[in-house]
Amino acid sequence: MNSRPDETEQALTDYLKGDSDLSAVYQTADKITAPEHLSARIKAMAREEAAQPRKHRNWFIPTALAASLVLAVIVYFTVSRQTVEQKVPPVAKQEQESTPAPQQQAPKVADNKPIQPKPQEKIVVKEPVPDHIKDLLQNTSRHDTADYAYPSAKELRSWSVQQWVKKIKQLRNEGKHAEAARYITDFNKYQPQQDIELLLEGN
Amino acid sequence: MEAWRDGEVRAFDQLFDRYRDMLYGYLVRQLGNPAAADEVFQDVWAALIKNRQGYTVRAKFRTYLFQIVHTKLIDYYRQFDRHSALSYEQHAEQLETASEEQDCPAAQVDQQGKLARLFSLLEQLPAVQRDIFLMHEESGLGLSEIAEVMNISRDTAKSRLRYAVEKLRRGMRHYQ
Repeated sequence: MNSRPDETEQALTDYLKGDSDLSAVYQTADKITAPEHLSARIKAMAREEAAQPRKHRNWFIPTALAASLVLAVIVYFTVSRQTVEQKVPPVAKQEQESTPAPQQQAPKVADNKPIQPKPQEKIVVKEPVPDHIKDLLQNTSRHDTADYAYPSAKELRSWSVQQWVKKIKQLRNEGKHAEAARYITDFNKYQPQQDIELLLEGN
Repeated sequence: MEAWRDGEVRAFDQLFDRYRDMLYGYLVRQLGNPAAADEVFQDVWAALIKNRQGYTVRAKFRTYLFQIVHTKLIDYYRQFDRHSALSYEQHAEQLETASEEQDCPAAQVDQQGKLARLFSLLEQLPAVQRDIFLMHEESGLGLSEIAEVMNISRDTAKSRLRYAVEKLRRGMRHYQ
């Protein structure tokens, strides 16, 4: 460059301040305007874009689906395992612990057969049956629970005390204790002022 | 721009009307070819339209717009004008000799003559120096903003502008 460094620096400073002949000359140039057809095309492009619904990113939906699926599977297996653990009776657990488990020994792989996973044994949960239910079941024959026509509520409401006592006695004599118990329950409901046991003893 | 990002078409129209002539003028003078300017101009606005949902306010809109322009301009040069593309990739110091002054007799001193001479000198500048000069003249961007647009340091932007101004001054000295 022929100009001295100070002069160059000063020229740049003046130019940046807007105090420069270069800018003055440049700004006298005619302003160039964008062609109308181009402007119209770009505005139409913008309208078209704005009319489209907001797009999710391409990975958004598949990722959300995959995440939901994985979560559902994890929750399912966790809940299943917890349910099974809760249902195993303590005795069964103790037996499992005390009994030496030959299955736990490492399987021999000498014959190179693929190791098949053992199917899980079904665990049947037996809950204790209350004594009064046991008695009822023992005293009830199949015949006892067979289909019989139990009177309607309207009919029962019209029964006299004597009818109730007669019916209950009859059932007891026939050994149909469950059915008799049902009549006694209803008798107490429809004749609350009467004592059925006293009436049965009295007759 | 935020209103446009949220889908207001009128906001885009206002934005476009405010910047279109400035941007188009800058491109015509930078590329020296209205057809090429049309193409880059359209690419710039298409990119802005397409990426509206990803817009975040980080700088002035003008700076954001010129960042897109700068990218599209380099794409254009890489595709059609390897020589100009090279000028963006080289250091400013290497470009210093690219436009040696040709002494011209001071034949015309009227305004039109000065203007013609200035544009002739601008055409001879390396693309990257011309770009900085035009960005400052057409859009009013300061050195820091130009540096941000071109992803260079402020000192580099200043150095490139110094070369551009000095060459233009030297070329214009018989026309003052």
